[in-house]
Amino acid sequence: MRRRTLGGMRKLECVDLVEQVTSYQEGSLDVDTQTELTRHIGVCWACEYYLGQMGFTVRLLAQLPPERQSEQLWSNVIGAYRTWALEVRT
Amino acid sequence: MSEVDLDALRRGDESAFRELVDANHSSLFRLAMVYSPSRAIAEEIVQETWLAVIRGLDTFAERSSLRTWICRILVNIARRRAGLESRALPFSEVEDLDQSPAVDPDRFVDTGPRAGRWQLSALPNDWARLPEDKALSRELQAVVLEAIAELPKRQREVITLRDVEGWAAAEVTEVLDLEEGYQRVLLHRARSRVRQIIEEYLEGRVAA
Repeated sequence: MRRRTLGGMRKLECVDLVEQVTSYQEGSLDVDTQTELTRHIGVCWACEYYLGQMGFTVRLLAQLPPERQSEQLWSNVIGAYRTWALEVRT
Repeated sequence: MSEVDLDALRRGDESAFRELVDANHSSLFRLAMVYSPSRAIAEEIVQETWLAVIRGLDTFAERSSLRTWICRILVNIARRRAGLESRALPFSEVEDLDQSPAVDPDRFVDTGPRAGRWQLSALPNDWARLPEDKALSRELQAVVLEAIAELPKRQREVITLRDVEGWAAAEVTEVLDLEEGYQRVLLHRARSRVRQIIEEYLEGRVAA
């Protein structure tokens, strides 16, 4: 076997981390894999940087400016709501 | 988002309605854009959605949250207009299941004692050290928006709701009729692709 094992589990390397990183961050991996990846990141600064890049990406996505409705859309929609409300009340 | 008062909405309370529209417009518009060739058409889809919401307010059964219900209506309308009949997209949308790796395989050592580790010539950089004006620039935001726009539809839906709008996984799977594991695969592919594009922009490294 090319790779050493850890408690019966295949040792995970950088090439594995980049495919498991989302599951890792979502906490959806089994305990052994999660532990093994945490170990790997602890000794591999390149993967620590990679994890940081994924975090950077997620933060950037969260900071995109929100979309705002146009005046036209709002006036059409509130008009429809008023009409509906009138019908409901009467 | 805090849930808008449903009773107030049903009474015709305009400020409650305004709050509902403001709180949901961004998610709805971005989701509509996945299916729209233009912003004008996305806006039409959003408007059609609100009209359907108003008509349905009295019969909304509260089996899901209000915003989940509203987003499901939008997805139905948007997909119907795009000529996609079923809300659960067929698995034949193979573009979303492509197995393209998160990182170009050439960046890892193939054999020997360092097999599976980063090539020393292709190590990832520390983006925490980027100057703030570069990390937060409008130009970088534009790069990210373009990267999202070019994703396959399913990936784009998931990354939009999860990361751009900040929804929880459970609500996203409900709105999009996705199985949880598949949702995670789509999120992973989408995030990995956007990271590649950012890297290409920041470092001039060509994305695979």
